[in-house]
Amino acid sequence: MTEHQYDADIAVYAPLRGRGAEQLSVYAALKTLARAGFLITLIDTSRRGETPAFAAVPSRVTELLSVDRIFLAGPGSAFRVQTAIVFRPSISTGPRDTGVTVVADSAVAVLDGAMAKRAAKADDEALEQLREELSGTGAALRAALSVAASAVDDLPALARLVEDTELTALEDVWDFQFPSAALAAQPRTAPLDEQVPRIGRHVVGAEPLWPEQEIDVRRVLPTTADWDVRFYGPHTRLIKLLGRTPPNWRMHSVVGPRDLETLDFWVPIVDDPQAIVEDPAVREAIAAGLLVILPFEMRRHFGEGAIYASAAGVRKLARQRHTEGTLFADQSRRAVNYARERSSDRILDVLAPLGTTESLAVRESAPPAYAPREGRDRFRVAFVTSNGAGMGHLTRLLAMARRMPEEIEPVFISLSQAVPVVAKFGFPYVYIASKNETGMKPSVWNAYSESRFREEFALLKPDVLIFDGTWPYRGLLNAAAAEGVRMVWSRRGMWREGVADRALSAAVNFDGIIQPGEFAAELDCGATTRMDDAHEVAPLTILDRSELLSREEAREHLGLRPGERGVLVTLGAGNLNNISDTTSVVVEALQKLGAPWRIFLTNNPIAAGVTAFEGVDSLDIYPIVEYANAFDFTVSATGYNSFHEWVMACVPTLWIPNLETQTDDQGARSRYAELAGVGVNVEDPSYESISRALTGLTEPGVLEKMRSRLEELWVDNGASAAAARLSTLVKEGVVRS
Amino acid sequence: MSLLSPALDMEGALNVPNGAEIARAAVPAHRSKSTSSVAFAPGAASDRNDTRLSTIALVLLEVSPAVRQAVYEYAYALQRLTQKIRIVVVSDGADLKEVRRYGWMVEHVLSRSDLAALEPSKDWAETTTDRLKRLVERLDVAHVLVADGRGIARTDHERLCRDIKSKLPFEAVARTPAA
Repeated sequence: MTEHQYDADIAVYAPLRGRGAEQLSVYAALKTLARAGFLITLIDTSRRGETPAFAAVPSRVTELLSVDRIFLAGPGSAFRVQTAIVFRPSISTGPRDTGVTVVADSAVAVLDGAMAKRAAKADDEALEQLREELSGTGAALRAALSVAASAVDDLPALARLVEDTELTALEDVWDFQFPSAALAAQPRTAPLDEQVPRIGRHVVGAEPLWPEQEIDVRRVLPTTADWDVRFYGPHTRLIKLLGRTPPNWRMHSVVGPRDLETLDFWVPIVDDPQAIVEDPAVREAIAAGLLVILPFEMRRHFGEGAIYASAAGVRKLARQRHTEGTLFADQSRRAVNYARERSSDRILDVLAPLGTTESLAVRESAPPAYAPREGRDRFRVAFVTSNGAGMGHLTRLLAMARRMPEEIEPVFISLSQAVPVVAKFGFPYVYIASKNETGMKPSVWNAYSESRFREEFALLKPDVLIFDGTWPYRGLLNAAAAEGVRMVWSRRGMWREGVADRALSAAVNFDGIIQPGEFAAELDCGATTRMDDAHEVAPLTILDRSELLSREEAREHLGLRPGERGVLVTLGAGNLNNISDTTSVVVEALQKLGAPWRIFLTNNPIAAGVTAFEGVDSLDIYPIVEYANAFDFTVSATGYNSFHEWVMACVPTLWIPNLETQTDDQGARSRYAELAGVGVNVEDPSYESISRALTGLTEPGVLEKMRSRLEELWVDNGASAAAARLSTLVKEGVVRS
Repeated sequence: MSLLSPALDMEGALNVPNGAEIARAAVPAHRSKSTSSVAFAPGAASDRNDTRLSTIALVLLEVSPAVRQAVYEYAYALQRLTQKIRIVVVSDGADLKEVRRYGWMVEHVLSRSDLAALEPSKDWAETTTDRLKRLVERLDVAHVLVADGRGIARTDHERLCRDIKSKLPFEAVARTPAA
């Protein structure tokens, strides 16, 4: 046990505005060390004025500073650390010029080729400077040879430099640029599809600069049906270059954590060698065991981690490897091994002999906890919803809002005209007209909504907003940024297959994402299933089961007489599809059932019109689920709310999905309900099919069987878990690791 | 005396201006213009992009549901009969769904009670005044029509008709709030 009191475990000297390859190394080191539990002080050695092209600190580096184990050291600060790691590429300034004092038990200098070249030219001044600045960091100084693969040619010079500076060379070359998280558990043994090779790429960060000529793209990303091309990440300019998306290409705007598993071959498409060398995506693809095909001149940088061809030869090489399984498997194995040898986790092996094996630092102060704004004694959270076709957005947020702890004060800001319902629960609200309601052109409405959101944020000064909607509006994002409102996204899954994933790229704007769960998640094949950026909770319903009225109470309130059986028809707001025809058909079919059935029909708070039928009781109750126990079964649409409410309340249901929704896959929910034995799915709402379904549903024993199946599958309401997660995000901020 | 500052009356009680008084003091009824540069849902008017439409802010603050309904019917008739106006309803009410029937856009204003609960130190009159001024600019409103406890005043109607160059007797469009 050491006698020292450490302020941090590791001091990392690095230019935050470094070039691609150096920065990848720094980034990988920081991430690995933080994940291993070390407390790290980061000292920026960017040299002012000499790196104009790299003036901005890349977002992935700044994101690391959100990790609570990495903090930026300011001038004048002083630290005692276990180890100092000095990344000293030629573009950086020396540790002494940073104004930060570090006393370290050991130090590692990571030197690049340019430094070596200066030394090799017998630049005594450079050598002396280096010796002096490194000796300042502490005892037992070691040196590692550089990181940048581009410096491999300079290794002899680097070795001489290490010798001349009387440092002790580490055995390994510091070439740990492969993110350990990307490493495939096992190499591929065969292509995914025997017939059609899958080729494509993913993008890390902004959209790259593609070749100027369309033909250069088509050479490596074929447009014929005998290839399956998949692309993950921003691609607007790429499609613009081609004029349209070829039919054999599947384009996604965001990258999910498992997307590389859908490719056999990875091609950079770009033709700028420097861009390829610096692209972290290349390394991720190699680490995933893909067959990465690069231009020949890249061999010196990526060795046997990739295979090489000219642009014209990419297809031939891929086709050959695809056909010959052994060659495919061999290369995948080589790629994974190549990445493993250079995995950033190996940094820990380098530090272990120096005695730095675990965190010993005691952080004097915890990361600053948030305090309510404006001197208030409670946090204020704005629950923001889009307009939506039904009540889903509002109801999900209401489910959370009414479970928030006392120290959090909810206020609703909604684009839904149904927002006054929140007043029933005691919440204040503001309405902002949606694009549809204003009839404005998108660009006009964006400006309008930004102005309105800003106005409300400026007045109410919420600490955090939680947005429930599929598409976070530009106006909302801009207003929140301008008014300093932290943001959380309540993003449900169950997107229809094929719905573009561009909205998911908005995730970077949010401090946290909460995903309300889905009872029918097994049939979810939408865009959100590719992501793992959300905190998922069980399905949300506004009321807990314990809050429902008992059967006797509910029946009494609704006036159901002894012997009568209640059936509720609730087909949504009808704002997207014409439900009046379907409602008429359902009512007609139900009326044919005769006694003892008594029919109730909901009047949705958001519905544009009111429908009435003779002999049918119209209900204007929100939330209607409170009366669930009064009904023997329901005929319902399969929007998020209705679906989960009837499932939670264990009410057998004839499901009629609304297939006109833009994003929500109501059809999948309905199919799942039937598969799970908790309802009947009717996608074609004709009189015959509804009558047939009703006849089956009302046969003796059927409803009872469904009810008991619902009891078996019942899970606790996820609303409390969602509220707890939101509360943590509000009070403690984002905890990234 | 400014309507925005609560003043003591002879008996010494607080004389707090109501929503209509605040609105009248906040923005002039006529802004020396006849048309609006911002196109939005015209409701019963013919075309959203009709640049000849004159935008009217119909202000209903602290107005009862019965008066609201009467004012909506009045405005609907006015719009139908003239085909010259585009309406934005400025409201602190909960009847958003009712307004939707007419196809008008709503600018919702935080109600006095909600503001008091959320921001006790803020004065609703001042906040609402600022809000009205901004929305008039934002939507390039040409006329402001304020409803009070009895609905729309005859004089306001006649002034508006002069502004939009329409001859429309008040009796042809006025509705009496239901008791």
